[in-house]
Amino acid sequence: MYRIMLVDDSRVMRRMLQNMLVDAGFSDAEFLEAVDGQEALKQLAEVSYKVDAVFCDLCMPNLDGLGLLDALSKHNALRTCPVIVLTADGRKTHGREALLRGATALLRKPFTVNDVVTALRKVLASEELPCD
Amino acid sequence: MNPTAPPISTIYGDALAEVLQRMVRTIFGMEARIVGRRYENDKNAPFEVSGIIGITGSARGNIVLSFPGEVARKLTAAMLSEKDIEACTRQDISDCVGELSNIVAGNMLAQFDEGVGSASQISLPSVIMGPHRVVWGSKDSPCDLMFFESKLGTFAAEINLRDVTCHPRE
Repeated sequence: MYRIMLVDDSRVMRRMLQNMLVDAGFSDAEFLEAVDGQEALKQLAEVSYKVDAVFCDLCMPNLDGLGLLDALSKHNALRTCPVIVLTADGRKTHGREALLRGATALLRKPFTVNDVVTALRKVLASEELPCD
Repeated sequence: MNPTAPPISTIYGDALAEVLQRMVRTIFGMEARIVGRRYENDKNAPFEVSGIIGITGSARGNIVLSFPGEVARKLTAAMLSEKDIEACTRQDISDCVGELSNIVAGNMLAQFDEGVGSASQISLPSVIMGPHRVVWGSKDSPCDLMFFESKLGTFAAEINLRDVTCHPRE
């Protein structure tokens, strides 16, 4: 069973993402939710299990997506946590900063179910590779 | 001079329509057809739920999406995959309209020439619920107001952008 965290200050976006993933076959996944980077960081540090992927909006109050990436990179136990960053900004240059700061993938809004699943499968596949 | 020509360049409005129609198709799986367009200085809200985004930097102005309450509720229910539209709260509707406005404005930035796009920023969305809001934009440029029809109802999009030196990409 996969554990997937959805980080967005909009409940509508969290629900939409979760519905997309459930419809695409991730119905047995466990979904964790956080309204901003601060809450995400707190939850990730507290849970005793590994979270397989984090979908994180870039623009959020308190601690935004870039702030969360920075905080994760400084955290010994969480620095390998794969983060798929979501942004509404369509500019090609935008989002590059997130990838430089450790995001695994970038999803531009509006996205389709296929976009979401492709990004997630890529993350999960890289996680399952033997690490020797 | 052509007396029927619009009083402003339609290039930004055309780009906005294209971005909005693509978003509606991607998120809701439906088409949004332009059924009306006018250029006006009076920026009273055409409908009662509005998502407003300011643009600053090289390009300056604002983009507003405006929905009748019932249509905003239906769109929110569709985003939540909620069959009972009455189950959507005002906060859900605000989230939905804010998110749609943010996506449209964010994607509009990519329509500008790179120099203008990279030197422009968009604000966080503000969502206003009520029929009498007025958005004051640039005095020297009327807003381009478009009405769209979709299977979930009619809504509007408007753009008021001061002329910038570059034009949206073809």
